[in-house]
Amino acid sequence: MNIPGNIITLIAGVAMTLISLWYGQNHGLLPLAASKDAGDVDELFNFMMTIATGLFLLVEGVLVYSLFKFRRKKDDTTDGPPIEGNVPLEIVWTAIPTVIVFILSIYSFEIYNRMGGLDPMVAGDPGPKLAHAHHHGQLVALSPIIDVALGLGVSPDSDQGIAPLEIKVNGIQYAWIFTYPESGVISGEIHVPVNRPIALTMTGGDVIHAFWLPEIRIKQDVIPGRETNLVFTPNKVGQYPVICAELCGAYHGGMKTQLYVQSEEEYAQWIKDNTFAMNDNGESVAMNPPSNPDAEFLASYASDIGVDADALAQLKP
Amino acid sequence: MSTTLERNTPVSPPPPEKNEHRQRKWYEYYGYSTDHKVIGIQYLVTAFILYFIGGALAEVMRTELATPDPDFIQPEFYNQAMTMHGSIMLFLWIIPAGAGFANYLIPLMIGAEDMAFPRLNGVAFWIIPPGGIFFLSSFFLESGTAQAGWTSYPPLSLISGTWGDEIWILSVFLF
Ligand SMILES: [Cu+2]
Repeated sequence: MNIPGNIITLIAGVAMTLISLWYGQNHGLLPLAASKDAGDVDELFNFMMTIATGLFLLVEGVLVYSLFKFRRKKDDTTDGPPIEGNVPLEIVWTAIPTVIVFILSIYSFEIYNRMGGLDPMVAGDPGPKLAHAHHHGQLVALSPIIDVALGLGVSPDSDQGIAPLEIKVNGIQYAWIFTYPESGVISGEIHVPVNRPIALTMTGGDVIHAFWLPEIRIKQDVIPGRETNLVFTPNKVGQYPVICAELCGAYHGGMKTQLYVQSEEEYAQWIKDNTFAMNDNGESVAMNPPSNPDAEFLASYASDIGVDADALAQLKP
Repeated sequence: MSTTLERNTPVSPPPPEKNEHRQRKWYEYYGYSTDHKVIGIQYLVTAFILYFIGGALAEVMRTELATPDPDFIQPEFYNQAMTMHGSIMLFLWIIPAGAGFANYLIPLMIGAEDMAFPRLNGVAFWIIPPGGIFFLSSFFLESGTAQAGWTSYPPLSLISGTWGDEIWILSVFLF
């Protein structure tokens, strides 16, 4: 049976498109998405993955096909036909990447805007503001008199009615310190209520760190002497890692903590517990419920902090 | 008759072979040369040696990472190995190897006699070996070599491995 070449090409093209579309949604490379921003980022990532899969199949397919189709015949020692370029082909393979790059740049800029990257408020600029330029869901024209934002602000799509919960973040070698100005709680872990915008104001105490929340899909440098911002709205209850993503010294690898996204009630309880503990001691040490003796509390961390059981037993209650 | 005479007319001796196209002695590859092919090979061999040093540092990191505990090297040395691995692979492998291929191949491909400034070309290569030795010598410092990553961001680069990072930045200027 002799199937015409253009039919085979058509079938291959359709198959390639379907495989790319399927793989773009089912690559399984991303961790859990626990915020609205994460959905936006994944949308862009999946779109890029679809294009990349299609290009990979096309380029590698042509390569492998040519390896077999144009293999040197046995006893053929000639140089082969002299081929001197192909102008239409070159125009095509220059135009396709150009179009792809344009689409990706516009699309990623739109996603960045949706995440709040163009919010003039995060620039922290005391000068004149561009109040009129901020429309919902549209690109914002940046005026040269406004600093470029360091971080992410409030998303133009988000519900403006809910006041964001403000948390101050301090990155030091090698820990994250979270301060809740509303309640005065200071903690080494970050607890937030679900479905409420969280506004982080971050700075570094010593060197440059980077605050990374893989499940929220946001990451922002934390710089000594400057403030950077992140606004995000977690939408799934759970416990997620917080990781330092900028080499900050010998123990950079250990600069990790946890983000606890909790229900309103659990969060309120956590704030209450920690506020109480602080008032009791008159100083800002959080955690460690008073019912737990130090030894019992520390036991689970003994191997991490390099103390053995005997040393723990000697701790005064 | 006349043809024989013409044939016997002594012709001027062939011009001395140009420096560029002579067969090379082995030792010429170890010295200053203005031949683009010699310089190309010098670049490639030097870069390849440094590539192995950079690779050995990667092996050190991988060995450490085989288990979660810091049982093979200390955290400080891990960052030194990482910084030097990155810097060597960039400044002493990719860049010189690219220069090596460019030196060797481009004049041949475009049909040029040699590179545009052969002596400058030779000098440029001879910055690499002493620069590389200077760079690697910082491993023997008491405070260790650079450990702030190949981007060497301050303030981290100012407070960790001070002398190491000093040598690091001087070497990067040199390359
Ligand atoms: Cu850090």
